[in-house]
Amino acid sequence: MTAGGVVLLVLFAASFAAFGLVVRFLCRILAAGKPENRFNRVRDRVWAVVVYVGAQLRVLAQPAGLGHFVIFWGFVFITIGTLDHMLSQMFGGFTLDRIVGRTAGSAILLLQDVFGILVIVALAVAALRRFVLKPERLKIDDPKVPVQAGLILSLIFVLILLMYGVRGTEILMGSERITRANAPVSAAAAAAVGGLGMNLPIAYGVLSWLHNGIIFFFLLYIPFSKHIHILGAIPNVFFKNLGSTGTLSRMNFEDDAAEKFGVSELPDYTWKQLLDLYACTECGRCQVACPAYRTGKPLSPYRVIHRLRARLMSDKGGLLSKGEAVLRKTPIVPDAVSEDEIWSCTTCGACMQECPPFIEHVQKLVDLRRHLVMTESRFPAEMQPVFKNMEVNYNPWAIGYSSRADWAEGLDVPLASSRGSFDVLLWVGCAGSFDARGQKVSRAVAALLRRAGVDFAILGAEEMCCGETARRMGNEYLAQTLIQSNIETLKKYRFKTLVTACPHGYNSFRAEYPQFGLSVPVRHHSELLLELVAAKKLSPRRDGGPRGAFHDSCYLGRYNGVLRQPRRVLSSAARVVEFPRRRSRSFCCGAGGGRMWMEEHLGTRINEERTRELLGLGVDRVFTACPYCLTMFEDGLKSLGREDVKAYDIAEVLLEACGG
Amino acid sequence: MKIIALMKRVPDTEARILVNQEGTGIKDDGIKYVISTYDEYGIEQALRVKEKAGGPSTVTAVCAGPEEATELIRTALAMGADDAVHVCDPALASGDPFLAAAALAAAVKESGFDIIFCGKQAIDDDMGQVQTILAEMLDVPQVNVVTGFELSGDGSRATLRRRIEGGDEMIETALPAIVSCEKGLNEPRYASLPGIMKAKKKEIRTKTLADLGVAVPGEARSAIVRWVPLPKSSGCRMVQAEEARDAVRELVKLLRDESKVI
Repeated sequence: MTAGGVVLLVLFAASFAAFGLVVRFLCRILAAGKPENRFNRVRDRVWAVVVYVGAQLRVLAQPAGLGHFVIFWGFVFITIGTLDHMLSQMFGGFTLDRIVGRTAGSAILLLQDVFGILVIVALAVAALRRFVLKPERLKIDDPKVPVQAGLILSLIFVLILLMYGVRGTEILMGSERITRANAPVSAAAAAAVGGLGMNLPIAYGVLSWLHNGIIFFFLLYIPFSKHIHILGAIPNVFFKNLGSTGTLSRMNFEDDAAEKFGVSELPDYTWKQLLDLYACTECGRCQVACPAYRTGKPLSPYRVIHRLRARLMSDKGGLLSKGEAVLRKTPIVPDAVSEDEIWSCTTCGACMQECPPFIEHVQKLVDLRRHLVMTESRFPAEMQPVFKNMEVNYNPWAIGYSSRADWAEGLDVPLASSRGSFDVLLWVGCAGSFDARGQKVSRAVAALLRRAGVDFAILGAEEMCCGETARRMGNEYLAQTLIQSNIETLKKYRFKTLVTACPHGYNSFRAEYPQFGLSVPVRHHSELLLELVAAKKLSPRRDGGPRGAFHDSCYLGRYNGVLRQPRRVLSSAARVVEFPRRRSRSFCCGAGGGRMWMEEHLGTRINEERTRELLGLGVDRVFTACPYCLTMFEDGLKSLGREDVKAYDIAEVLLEACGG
Repeated sequence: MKIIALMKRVPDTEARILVNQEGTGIKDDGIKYVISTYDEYGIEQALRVKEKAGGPSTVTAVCAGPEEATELIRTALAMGADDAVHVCDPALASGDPFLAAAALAAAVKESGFDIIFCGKQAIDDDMGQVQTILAEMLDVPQVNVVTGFELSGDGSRATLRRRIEGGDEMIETALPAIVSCEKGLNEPRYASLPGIMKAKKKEIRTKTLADLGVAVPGEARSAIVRWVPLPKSSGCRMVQAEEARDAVRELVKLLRDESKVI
């Protein structure tokens, strides 16, 4: 071992030891969070890493993701080369060939050589986007971000140049291993600078040491820059939510002495929620998908994660701190995340749908809401009557609970209490029961079920709000009260399926009621109606029908993947036009997450944004499969002065085609 | 400072009220009960006074009502009242304001008081008598339909605001006094969950009229004789016409000839 080799070995060992210490510290920060079990289904988790890290499926969902794919895999191969080169510097004569054999070694060398060029191209595109094109999604109000991005891009660029430089000098020095055949780019570089008359051994040494130095710097810089995602993203994919993203965490209220509910400081989050903060790549895809951001509200999911991470970095203790000092407790609201941001969220889930490393934004915001609502009793004033209405009359509409089944008057809809057992329990929901427009939809659904001879019943006044709205508004206590009452009621009856025309109820029963011990087969009315049409129990006339655009509800399409059924029901009765933003990338109507019940005084109106998208399609109808979306479109059309365009639920369209 | 908040259990404003067959009261099934809206302003004001006064002040919620009122008393405790007195006696079911006032007077005398807040009226029978009878029984001043409240620095007096035609009236009163509250005085808080949890352990002292030494008179000073449902309305009729002028003409004709009101 040469003197240089020894020095390098010491530096190498020291920087990796320091890096290990930093990683250990990052893990200890996570351990300061609350427990959460994400260690089940290991095989599915490994598979997720293969698909979303290896194949970069979500990254590649957008064209710019190709650049990331190239840099990621370039990084992997070139790092092998870097280690190979360092080891050979430390232990003279060592090469990767000794481990993998000459042929494979040569192949890896070739891959590194080619990836180098691809990475440079990717870096150029990245720099062009970051500093020239400046797309909306990279916009962030922290001046450190572009500086860090520029530094990292330049460092990678210099590293690649140095790699070619080192290899080029090796070729010039007559290396047997690195040749024109397995390192054509390096050879070309060598040829280009060969005539400069450099002292080759000195040039080789200088270039190698520069390269090594940057690597060591990189190693210790990454964990404290926005590039911490290199460490966080892969475990975050491994620990991703394998269940439904439409399931919020269940809170436990058994502790009578508890003084605090929800999240107000970082250590109140679970370790996985903190890991999310390491994982953010700052790609900003969530930002441009977010309906709040798109309509000029203060919320951007990207900024929330960015600020929480910044808070994590400022709240963390020193590398060797212990106990509570590892992650100090400072209030998140209002400095890191403001109340306006928290209440702007429609919980539409578009951010989570876009996020390449599967960050779970919505739960974080709901956790903050939980603290504001339940611990501090602090929330927009208009929410209080909503909570009260749900407490007293089990619906947000301020209508007496005993009139819940009034919509069905004269329709001969059987009550569950008079039947006991039946095939389908029609869960009408609050909108379908109390909202005048929703009632019309309920009547259409009931008429279709009767026409098709379905054996169904409703709960009538026994039905309570499913709790979805309360839950997403952060009032988990009220939500659980409603959920538990409903479960008691439902357990009294025997039925095969619960069917509802409301995607919010649908998501609740499908993704959340099982948390509380009720697992019944749940179907959206689009699923049942499609089955009835397929079985010819409903026969819409097939003469084209009206033409209209179908809008995907977030809680039906994005959260639960019910995309095909409403379209097929519609296409049996109408001609369907598609929105530009559709299916699981649909744009929220603005009513989710309790926003239906709040004033929208910040930015422009989400429903108007979506309505304008509709109007751009030049159709005079919009079809929905959600009572909230229906209301939001009707309001949007009214406020844009386009009441000539009408909104219908798919059940109404089908009923019309069946002869009304 | 001993602050009292009076509260009454009343049918929810959204409940469908139907007179029972015998005409002795309303049908109870399908009705949810709540704290009377104006009493909620009183509870909120009591809590605000306590928070501002600091020191050893307490808020006691006092309710005269049936056993089922306990749930609502817990709500007042969850909002922040320290303890509660529940006068629970079958004799109170008669709805006689005099008896209710006598019960409340005995209860607040027992617990002591520096100021009493209540609603300007209960939203069920809208009689609005209790606070006045109570003031007489306790021989303290009363200020009604209050939309603003300010306690003096030493806590011995209060300045109150009343909305009157064309302006506000400012009234100063010595304490103890009874203040009946109007909408606009404050926005009642929503009980926090720790508040709800704590309320489970707070004390509710349940008393009968006998416990309080209130004699039930053989005959009530006033009694509800009979409840009569409203005659079914014939429904609303929309007057429609192409021109507004024709619609007005038709409306006038109907008012004159059909309903004979002009």
